Amino acid sequence: MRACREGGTAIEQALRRLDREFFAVLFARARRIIRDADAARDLVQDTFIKVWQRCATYQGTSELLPWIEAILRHGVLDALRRSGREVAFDEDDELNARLAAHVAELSQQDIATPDDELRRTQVAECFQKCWEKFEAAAPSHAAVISWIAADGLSHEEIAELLDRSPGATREFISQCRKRARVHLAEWYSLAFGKDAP
Amino acid sequence: MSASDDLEWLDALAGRDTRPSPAHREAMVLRAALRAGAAPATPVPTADLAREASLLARAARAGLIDAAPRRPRWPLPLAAGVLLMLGAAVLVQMLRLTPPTTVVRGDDDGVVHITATNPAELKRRILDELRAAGVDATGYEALNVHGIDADLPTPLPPQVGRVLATHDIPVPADGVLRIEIRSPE
Repeated sequence: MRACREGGTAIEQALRRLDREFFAVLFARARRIIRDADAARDLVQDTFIKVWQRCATYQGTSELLPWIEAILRHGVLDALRRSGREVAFDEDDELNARLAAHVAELSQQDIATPDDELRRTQVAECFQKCWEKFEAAAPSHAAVISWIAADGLSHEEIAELLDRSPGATREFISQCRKRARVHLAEWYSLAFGKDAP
Repeated sequence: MSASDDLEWLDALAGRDTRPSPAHREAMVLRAALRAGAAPATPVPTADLAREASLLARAARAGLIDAAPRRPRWPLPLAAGVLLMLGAAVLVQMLRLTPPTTVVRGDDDGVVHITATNPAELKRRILDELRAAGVDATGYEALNVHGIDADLPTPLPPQVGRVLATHDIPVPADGVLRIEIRSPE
């Protein structure tokens, strides 16, 4: 980052170092959301360019990787929005309301702990299938949920990521939960309670 | 779902301590599934020259670096040394091409006598220079003597004067230039 701030001929070296030190981890993060490898690579390289362009705003007191990851997440969300894949969600729709209520009811029960490998595999496969549908219908919401689980994003960090007010961020988080309940309802049925296979 | 219920769900999903509750369980089961289902990262090389080249090209398109490939830089002392050697080589070459001459001015018959190691070469050069300056000069060779005859214009044009001065040849008073060039004895 020092080379980044000094500029001049150091820039090429700085970019090479960024690539060598951080490409692998950032590429893995990007590919969890953006399945296409070339698109993920482009996003990571765009992130490095933005790191250079914004290096003056880096405080130096925080760790470098989380700061770079935040820039990557912005880029991923922009790409998802540009893709226009987001499907409108009507929470008053009868089916959606019923599924959400079902999951809320399930969550009153204990989490099932399948004791054999076959069951665990069935539950895991069901999750993957449901999650892919969720990602296809609501990519931004799915991405934010996965970042919360993987990186422990706080309410404030989500607000900054989305560039929204605290109230609008609360609404977005609520939407994430509702959409997850609808799209993952089948899996929730397996994951909870005595009825689990 | 209340706002506080959603925040509890958020905290549990993020792995922060929350009290056991339906929101907590709903988030915890999702968190566990997400973390367990994360596909193993595809191994990528730490250093990849093609990838770096692509990144640098992108940086160039963004105007961060020069698009033109950078020429290797020579350390200053090395560059100065090379320049000195080149200068010396050019000087030696010039000395080789310039035959040493001796000019005897104002002899009795009005002829300028010049001694040169290569009379033919010097004659050709003086002829070329005079003709380039607009003088109708004639060259000849007889009995190992190379000569030049010319009628100089009056007044003497500056460019003709410069040619004569270059070879240390005096301006003839009558405007008739006669030069004889011989090899040294």
